[in-house]
Amino acid sequence: MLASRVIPMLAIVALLAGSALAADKPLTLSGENTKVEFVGSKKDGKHNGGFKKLTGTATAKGTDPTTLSLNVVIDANSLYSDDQKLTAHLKSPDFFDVKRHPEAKFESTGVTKEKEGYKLSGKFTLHGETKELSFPADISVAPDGLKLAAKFTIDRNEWGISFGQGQINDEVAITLTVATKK
Amino acid sequence: MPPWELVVDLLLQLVLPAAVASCIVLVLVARFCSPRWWDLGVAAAAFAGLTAGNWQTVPLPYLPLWNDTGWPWLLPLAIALLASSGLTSALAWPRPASIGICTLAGAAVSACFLVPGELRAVPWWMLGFGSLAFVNVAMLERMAQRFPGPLTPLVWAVTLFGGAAGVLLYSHSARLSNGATLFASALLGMAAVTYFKPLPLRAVGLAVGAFLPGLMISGYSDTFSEVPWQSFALAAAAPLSLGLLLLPAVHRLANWQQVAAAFLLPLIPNAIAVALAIAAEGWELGY
Repeated sequence: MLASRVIPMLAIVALLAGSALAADKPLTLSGENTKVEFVGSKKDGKHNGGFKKLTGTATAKGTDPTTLSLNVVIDANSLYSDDQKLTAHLKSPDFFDVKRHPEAKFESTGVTKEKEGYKLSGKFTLHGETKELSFPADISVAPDGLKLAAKFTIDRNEWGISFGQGQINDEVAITLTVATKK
Repeated sequence: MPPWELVVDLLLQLVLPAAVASCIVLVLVARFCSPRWWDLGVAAAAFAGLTAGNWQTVPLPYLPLWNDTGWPWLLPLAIALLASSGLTSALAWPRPASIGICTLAGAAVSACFLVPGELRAVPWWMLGFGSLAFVNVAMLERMAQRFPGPLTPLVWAVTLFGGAAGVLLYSHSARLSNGATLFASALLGMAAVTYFKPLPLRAVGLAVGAFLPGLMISGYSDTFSEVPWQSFALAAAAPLSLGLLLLPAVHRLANWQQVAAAFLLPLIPNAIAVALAIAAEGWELGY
């Protein structure tokens, strides 16, 4: 009688404790479960692009998104776009200069709760320049993984990518999507 | 051909400022300086053209990171070489030893700064680059002494840097292509003055001889295109063709024939370089 009640309770406690601990373990980020995409625009059009390869980790305590810590290293040479010649041009010294700056990095420094969703802050290194970056994000940390979706814009000049000013807009739209499963 | 608006922007923001600035400074040099200061004045005119043309478009940085290598060092190195070349002459250090040492040091320093990091793993890149820059300078200075009129800056601007700009544009780097156009524009302004007042451009030879292969080695290393390595090599080494002007047979030619040879010799490798680039790629930058 006692065993029939205690054992399921212990099992539930163990399951809950296990899932919270599991969330403490770093989740591995890769190009498969994490997408970094961008849209560059000009007066009469726009182009889509992104990065195919990245590595990183995400950790959180329990299921609280404000405890999320994110570290992402992007392989700049894996850059792609919707035009083969544009891809070559974006990799060249005119823009990302990937031979000289083969990696971009994002290292989160904090997550705060906002009226709607969360604000993710961190240090973003691109084109050899490191700047503070904050952007709104929808974050959910569940026992079975992490989901994060963010759309924001950056001014490319802040990271020293200033070529083509006047012809290409300074603002670049970024979409970050993370969907990991244990 | 690139869109008309891009060409007009380039003309207004880079070509004209560079040409006008170098032209004005060289007019002042020709008007007010004694021959002893001509080399320094010519170097100052080239410096004025480079900085004025680089002002709005900033294709090349003035202060690269110390541990950086390759194209970011092109402009500061060109300015340093112009200064050292002009000062060597102005201070009347004994020739030709001072010129030889200055050229050798300039070529060695260029190799240290302009060979991109990725290529440094193979030592002969540094040695080859330094040797090419040294021989390039020797040929260019020889041409400058032989033809003190507008022929020298015109050939350097239109043929040497024109060919380099073409190859770099087809390798999808507007920045490096604009770097070649920048030096070409400064030289065009100087050509306008030397048409009326012949001045030897020897002091610019050191900077041109290092800047040109510096551009092309970064174009080869840092761009992503189908343009073959031969295009970059031919454009970088085109000044070597001027060595044929030293042959006794060429010396015996009539003056107009020597002028024609000086014009045509560097044109041949550059025409081949651009043709190879065009065959491999379109000029489009994709945006």
